[in-house]
Amino acid sequence: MFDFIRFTPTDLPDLGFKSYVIFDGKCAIALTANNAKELREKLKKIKDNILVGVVGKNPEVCREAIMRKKVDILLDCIERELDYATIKLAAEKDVTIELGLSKFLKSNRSERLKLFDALRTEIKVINKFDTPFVVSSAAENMWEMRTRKQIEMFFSFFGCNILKARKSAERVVRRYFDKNYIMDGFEILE
Amino acid sequence: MRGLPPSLRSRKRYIAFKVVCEVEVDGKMIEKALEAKMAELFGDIALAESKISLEYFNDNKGILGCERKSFDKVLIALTFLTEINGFKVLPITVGASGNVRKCKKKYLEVL
Repeated sequence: MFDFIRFTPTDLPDLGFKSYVIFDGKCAIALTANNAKELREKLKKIKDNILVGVVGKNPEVCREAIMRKKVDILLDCIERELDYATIKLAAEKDVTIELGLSKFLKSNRSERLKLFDALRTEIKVINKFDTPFVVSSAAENMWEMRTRKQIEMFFSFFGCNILKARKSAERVVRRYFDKNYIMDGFEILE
Repeated sequence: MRGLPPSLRSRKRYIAFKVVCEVEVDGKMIEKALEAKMAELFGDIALAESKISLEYFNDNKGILGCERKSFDKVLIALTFLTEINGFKVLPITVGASGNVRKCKKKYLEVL
């Protein structure tokens, strides 16, 4: 399993991950935009062969991000609000949705209650449409990181299918970082 | 209750963990913080049912005992432990076992 993080870690203890995807602009980039137009402009400047994630701070940006071919993953943040149609569209357009743990760690109690409720609904819709999703720490610093087992346990408590999440993460990563990978079901063995 | 037959006795799980912290922390602080977090997340009834107890703690590594039924809740509460006495912490679970001796031998001796 892979973890998707927003900083370059140094001196990390073994947390049980195969590897980390770091959104630092070198091999993966995280885009933030306030509206759909800004997002489109930012996406135009991006070259190929880089994993593109969008931090959707409002529903409009989330919807636009999912409809763009260049976007691989919709990153998680406290402000993100996914609606039914967006998750359905993500399944059709094969855009992966990230479910992150860090927003739950950062938020206070009243915020957390709302986030738990939203997570439960999101997972229900994700399971309904079989939308590709990954579970990760979504950490912005070392203190927000957790072990693979802790992250998986948390999301499975809310009804996530962890095996599916692992597969989706591997698919996203292999698309860019595995030379032998061609497409789902096709890869160079020798 | 005392004198329960083995089939009615509650099963326990022991979680080996280590804590990365800016300062040295002691076991009691962790136990208190964990109980508070458990009550905050799942309520007092779940806290009582889980029977959390810190079996061993030394050099930022420890073993936490809990009811098998509440294992996932205790693990989530441990995950949500972000600070102790105002200092940031990173709790790392190493493994879980059915008895303290094996847990210590399997997980804490290799650390």
